[in-house]
Amino acid sequence: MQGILRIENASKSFQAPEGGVIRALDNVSLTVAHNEFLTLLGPSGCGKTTLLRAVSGFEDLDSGEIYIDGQPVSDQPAHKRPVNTVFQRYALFPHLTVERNVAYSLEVRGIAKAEIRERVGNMLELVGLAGMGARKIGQLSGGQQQRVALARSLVAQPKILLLDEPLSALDKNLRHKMQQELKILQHELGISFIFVTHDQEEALVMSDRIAVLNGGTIQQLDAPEELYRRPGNEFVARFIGESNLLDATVVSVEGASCDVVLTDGTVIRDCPVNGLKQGDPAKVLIRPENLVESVGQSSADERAGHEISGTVSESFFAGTDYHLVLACQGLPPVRASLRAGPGTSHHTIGEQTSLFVPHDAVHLIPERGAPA
Amino acid sequence: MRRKMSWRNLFLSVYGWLFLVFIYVPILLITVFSFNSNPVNMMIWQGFTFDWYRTIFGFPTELNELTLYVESTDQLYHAVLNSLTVALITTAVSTVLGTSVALAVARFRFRLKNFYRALMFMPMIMPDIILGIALLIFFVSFGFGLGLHTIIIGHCTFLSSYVFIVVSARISDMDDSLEEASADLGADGWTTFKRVTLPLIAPGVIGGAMLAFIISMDDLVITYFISGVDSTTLPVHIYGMLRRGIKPEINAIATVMLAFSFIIASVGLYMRSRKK
Repeated sequence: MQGILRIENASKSFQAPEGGVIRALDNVSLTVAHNEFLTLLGPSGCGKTTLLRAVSGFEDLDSGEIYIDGQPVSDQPAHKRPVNTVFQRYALFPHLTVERNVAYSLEVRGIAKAEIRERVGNMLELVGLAGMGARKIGQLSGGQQQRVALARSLVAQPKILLLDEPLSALDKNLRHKMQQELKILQHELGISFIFVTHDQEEALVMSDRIAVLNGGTIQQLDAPEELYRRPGNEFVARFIGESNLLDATVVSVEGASCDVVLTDGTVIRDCPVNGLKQGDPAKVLIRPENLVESVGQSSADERAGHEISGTVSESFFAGTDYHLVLACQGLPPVRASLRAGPGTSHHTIGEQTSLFVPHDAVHLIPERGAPA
Repeated sequence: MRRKMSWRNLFLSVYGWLFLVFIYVPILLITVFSFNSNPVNMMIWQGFTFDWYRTIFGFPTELNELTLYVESTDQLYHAVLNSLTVALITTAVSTVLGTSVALAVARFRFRLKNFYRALMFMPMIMPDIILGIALLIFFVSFGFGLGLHTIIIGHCTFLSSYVFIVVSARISDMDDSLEEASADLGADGWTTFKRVTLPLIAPGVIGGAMLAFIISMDDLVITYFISGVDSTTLPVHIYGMLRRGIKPEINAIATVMLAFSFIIASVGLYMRSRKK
């Protein structure tokens, strides 16, 4: 794929202050398509910001190459690269007005005054700040500053817009609003966005694809739904969404489905096989919201092999859902979110209960080291 | 308890007032006496006169020549001119040097960085008299020949440190990512300096420059050692005059210098107040 951005075998190490070497990027390769919203997601220190800074030109790679629109850019200093960044704390120039901030990249390039005025005006309108051009940065709210930062980067018409956790300083409501606006803006402008965040919910909402990073390597690069439903490894499964991860062994394989046995002896039937063979160890991923109450599920025969039983150890009502924790002999605690509908009832602590596991709700993750 | 508090408050107000008295009464006295017409004992008020100001500015007076230091005002003017020359050149050089070093130390990572930082502080804590003697020995042994140039070099050595410290404080308040943002938006290093860095650190740079100017104008100890015969600055000249006894003109000179410093400091405070 000849995308707008291609990163090949990027590696970067830092000298840790305590001595020793931190591998911030370990042989990372990645291609970003035209007009794609790609998110780099991971915990702090996973390398996502380093990767972004390598693209913008603020970090030199130890090895590897970055191509923007087919051109290698390793030798280009930051100010010559056709990308722009929205910084985490916006980095707006406090001595300039909103208008002059947005105009900065155009002024620096020596574009004619009349054209600058027009483009800045249009851009301020686009981000919803029309009429605020004469204000000082200090007079703006956090959300407005965010918009100025966005306008300032976009007015330069970058080939890629890089966003370094730009929403982390905003309060929750504003953040949700900006997430939607950013997504719409990206769609309208048709520019590729690379968005860095540690907030998995944010990543799921906004992205076309998400690259999950940890320890300087890409753990998985996929569309949000795929990542959520079929995480490639335990880290991704735990990092994205709530999860129950249970140790299991494959006992029999039949075509595309298999049966597994959990550590407490419970058998779960008809799981998607995911390349596993008989006798392979695996992690069984069951999302809490995919578990259903057994009561009301047809016959006992049909339920057999699709149930987890235990004692309710925690139970509370959270509006849309009942949250339960089931303590099972020989298993880690199992979390369940039961949709609060007419049929569901509150479970009391200490109650014995069974939860139904729909066969398509199970995802098997091959254990590390096992043949995939 | 109340009583104890009020004792403490009384002590603090007395202390506060004494503090102000010891600072400002001498200055007030010197200003008042500069208008005292008594030529013999300037501590005894005789009448109001501008004569002392007239003599230092070279206007004719009816004063007895013997009561005066200033046979001709040329020497005094020469000293003032020397002081201004030294102060202006020194300010320009040390502002550029001090600011550059402050930027380098703040922006780049290099070996022995903290060592260089400490080196920049050294001239501030070194006693003036030692710095003066050291510079004198250095100039003489390298055959510089004393003159205005040695005073300028000497002043630059320690005034760069003052500028460095003032500007460093300002830079540490500045968000590093602003310069990255500028580069990201297409500005090269020089454009970034001109459009972002300098405007943001300007209050520090101006403050440092004014401090350098005032200290250079005011310095006696170091200048005393490294000034040549013809390169007397105002403080050195006044010191020379004092060796012939304290005469009333000195009050007028002091008051003029005071007014001058006051104006510079006021401008400085004004610039600081509008930094945001």
